[in-house]
Amino acid sequence: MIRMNKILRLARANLRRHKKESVLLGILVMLCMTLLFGAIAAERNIRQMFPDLMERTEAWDVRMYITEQEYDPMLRSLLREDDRVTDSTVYHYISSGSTRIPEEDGKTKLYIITFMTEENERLFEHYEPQSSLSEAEIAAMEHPIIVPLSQKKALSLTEGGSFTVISDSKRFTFTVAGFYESGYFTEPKFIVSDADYAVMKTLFNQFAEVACNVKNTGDAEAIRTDLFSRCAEAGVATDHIGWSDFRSMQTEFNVEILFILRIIEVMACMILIAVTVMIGYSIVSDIRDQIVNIGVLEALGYRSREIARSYAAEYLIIALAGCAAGTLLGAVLQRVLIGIAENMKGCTAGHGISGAVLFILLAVLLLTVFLTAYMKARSVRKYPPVLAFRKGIQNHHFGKSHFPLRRTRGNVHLRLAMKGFADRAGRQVGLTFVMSITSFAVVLSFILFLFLGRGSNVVRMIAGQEMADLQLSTVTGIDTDAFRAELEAMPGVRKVLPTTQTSEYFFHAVGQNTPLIAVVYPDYAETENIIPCEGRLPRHENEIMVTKQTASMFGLRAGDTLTLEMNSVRRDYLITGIVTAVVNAASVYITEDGMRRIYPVYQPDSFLIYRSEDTDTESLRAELDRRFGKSAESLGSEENIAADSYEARVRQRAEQIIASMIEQDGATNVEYAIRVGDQVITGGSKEIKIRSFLNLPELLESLMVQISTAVSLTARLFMGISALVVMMILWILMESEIRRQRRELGIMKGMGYTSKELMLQLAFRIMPTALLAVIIGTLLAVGATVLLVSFIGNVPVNLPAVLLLDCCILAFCFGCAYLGAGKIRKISVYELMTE
Amino acid sequence: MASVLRTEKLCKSFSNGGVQQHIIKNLDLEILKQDFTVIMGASGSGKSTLLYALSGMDKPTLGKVYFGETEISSYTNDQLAVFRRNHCGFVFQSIYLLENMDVFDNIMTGALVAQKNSPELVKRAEELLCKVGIGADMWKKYPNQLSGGECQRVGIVRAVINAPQILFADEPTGALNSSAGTDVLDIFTELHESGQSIVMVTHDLKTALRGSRVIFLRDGSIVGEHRMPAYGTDDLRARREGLGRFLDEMGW
Repeated sequence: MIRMNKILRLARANLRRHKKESVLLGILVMLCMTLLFGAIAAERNIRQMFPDLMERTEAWDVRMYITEQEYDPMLRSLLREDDRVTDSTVYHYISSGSTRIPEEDGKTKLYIITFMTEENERLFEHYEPQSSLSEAEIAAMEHPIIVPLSQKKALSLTEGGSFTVISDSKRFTFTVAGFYESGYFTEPKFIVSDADYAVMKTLFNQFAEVACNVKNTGDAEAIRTDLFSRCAEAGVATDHIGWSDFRSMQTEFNVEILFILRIIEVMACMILIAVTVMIGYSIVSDIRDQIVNIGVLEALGYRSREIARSYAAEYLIIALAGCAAGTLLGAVLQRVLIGIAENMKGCTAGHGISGAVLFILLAVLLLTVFLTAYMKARSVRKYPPVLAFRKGIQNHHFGKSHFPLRRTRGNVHLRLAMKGFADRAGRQVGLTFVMSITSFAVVLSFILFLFLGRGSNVVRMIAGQEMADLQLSTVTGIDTDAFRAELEAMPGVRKVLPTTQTSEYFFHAVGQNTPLIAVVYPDYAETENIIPCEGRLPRHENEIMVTKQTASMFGLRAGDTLTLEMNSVRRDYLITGIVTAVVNAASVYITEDGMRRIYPVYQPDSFLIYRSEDTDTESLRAELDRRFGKSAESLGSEENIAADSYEARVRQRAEQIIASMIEQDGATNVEYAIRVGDQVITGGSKEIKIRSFLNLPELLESLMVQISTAVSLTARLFMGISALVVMMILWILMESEIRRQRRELGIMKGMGYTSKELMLQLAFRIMPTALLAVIIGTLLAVGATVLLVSFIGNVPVNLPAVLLLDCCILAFCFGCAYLGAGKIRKISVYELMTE
Repeated sequence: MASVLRTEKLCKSFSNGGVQQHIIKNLDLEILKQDFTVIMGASGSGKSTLLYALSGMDKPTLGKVYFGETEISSYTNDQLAVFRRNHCGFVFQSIYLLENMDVFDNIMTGALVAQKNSPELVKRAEELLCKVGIGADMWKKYPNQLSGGECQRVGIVRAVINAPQILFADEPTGALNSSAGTDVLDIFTELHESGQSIVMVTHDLKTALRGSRVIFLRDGSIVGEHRMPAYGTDDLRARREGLGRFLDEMGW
């Protein structure tokens, strides 16, 4: 007990001696604990969100979606044959990739939406609408709509308020009748009346979804493989079936928020490393500063182990204080993170904190600090009293004099700073390491922020898809070459590329079940956003390129040969390159000639249109409408016939019917002759060339918005916290440097060096370390972006911007070190001389 | 002789545990150019405090200090630092060499704060070092490799490298043995003979003998002053007796 008191008394004395340093170190520990505890505690609750949601809504474990046209009821029968499937159902919904909603400024924004009837919704999940409106009020509504709770806040909707959806020229305005908690669904799912659903069916894509529950969610993949094999035997096409199971949905559900949590955890570990390095640095400095006092203590009978323990106790006290504050702040951070997750996902999560997590974290942090301090402080063993009285061997210099002052050319302060740095270069390893990590974090965050922080960039670079300003699909039977020439001749059009609609054609790799989407272009040299991360683009008819995911799934590399099958025709293709693709990950990139090798009647049914810089997308689309008439999609839904003359009205009506036949019944060529009295009005489907429009960049941007927001937010957070950590590290460093060099600095002040000059010298002294750390950090960050290429695609590094950032980091380090050295002002020459 | 430093009603007090201690009280003093002023007094009389107040190492509590016609007592700390580098040189009892620098760098640290590096400056440093008996073989040595006397000689060269208008010395021989002390005092005498103004604090009679003017301080006030001819121009015994009498009168 007496020994403990002795140790604590020494620790308290040490703490009093360097209060500011202790406070800064305590803040670092607090920050580390806050981030670590907040993120880990939140992760448990956030991970539980999805299973809880599935349980509350009683949604299905496995879902297979397919277009209504391709849906075969046999699919469900085949599914039910599997013993691992407990029950199943089929429900229907409509959706569109081009629906928009009006915004406050009068513009519209893309908003992908799904509509379902109440009957189908009840098949999908446990449906429990919430509304403060009476049944009579709801019954009186002409177009009621039940909104998923996740969209209530996002769209600022209230009961009784209106909600408008625009699909091409058609506006559907609903009255919000209530809200409900929706199970996980790719797009927001709104519940509408049967009558409204029937009207909208003609405009939207119709889907059927076969869903089932399984005994063990881990069996889903095996169930899928077996089902698809049975489908193949029974002649049921599976090419167009989309598959979601519990695990894939859970991964998809948590991906953005878990990304943020991981980054926060990495940040916390980074701070912990900084804490250990700074503790080591502080203790070494303190032992050098206090060496005579240590000698006195040893002479008085203190053992070196007790002195080492007093240092460990000192830092344990600091860590305890930091952890206590960090626990409280961590609990707040946990709430904030859960709040963010709830807002992002539109469902609730638990807020409980696990005592075990807290205990483990506290134990790890405190033990790390204690052991680091104790190990470093054990160096007092090297100083028996007599050696300590003589200030240890450390203060004696016999080595080479670096940067001799007789050779000073320019600024003496810079020379003295370099001299100071060179004398202590060996002790800068820890600092270089910590600063390299922080620089790496800042530069990588910055690169990702530049890249992912702006949605359109991300989409263009990582989608693995060509991103034209507009994609239009044509009705069948048109002369594609002539139409391409017509499009290219239009003003405001920079380039036109014929291609095929996504998921229109599928291949099978021989011996594999997974269908591969065909991406077809006449010449890949003309594409702008398909950039191989390995190898090159396909050029010849026997060449293909595959996605990174396809390559890893089938174990393929550039230079391998892949045998593709389509409609029982097999052809070998040489893989010339690998490309990363965030969407449509199982794709094969093939030239038109290559496509015709396996499918001789291939014709492009879609055109990518690139606008010139002086035109905007909306004007271009308006011009296309003016030249080629409205698209079949919009004509088919036109309700008002607004033409002036009777003949024009008849023609419009006829075109509307033809468009409807093309769009919904698959008609390829329709001609008409309408007799009105003596007049015969004739026409045909040749006037209608465009089937539909798609703004692909906007669509993909809307899909990427959450991940891009998450990255952007996290990158900014990372940069902010890294800056804070660097600032505190430098302040601690300056504090201990000034403490250690108080005598020398006092002498120099006596000689006439001003406080500002000495502050400059100290700030300059850390600059070689900072420069080295920034170079290492930047190289590592650029290296990491190269590694990222494998995962998310070609991440461009804006070198001038990165170099500018490096300069900013160096300026920041200099500024922090300069301000941190402000304590020099407090060194009184007089006091030092009269000591 | 013109005055180089002057004080008007100089006061310096310290607060110690809430109790004000008045170390210097309304002190008027004039330091003359090319004079070798020695400040003597008992321990706690305020000798060192006065030296540091005169040299701009510390600020007075009240009163004024003039360097020539310029009042320096109102200067900020950084202005005082610039004043020290341009006009003053210091020799301390504890020598205060920078332990992490070799002999030559210690000199150059003092030199380069006031002037740009030049071959002439390096040459002057070399000459001064040789003059005080520090040969080229010692220039690359660190302070802990030198004797106390050698260190103090290096300290003197560092103090005079910028040709200061006034050289302050606080017990420069206090930490040295007799032989080393004499060598150091000889250097001071040489400097004085070459026209250097010196203000030195000491309580050693042998050291005080080197001065041309001895001021005696008691309880922060000047209680007596004794003038002597330049050292070496008179009979040493008579000089010692004269100073002894003065100090006896002062009750030392």
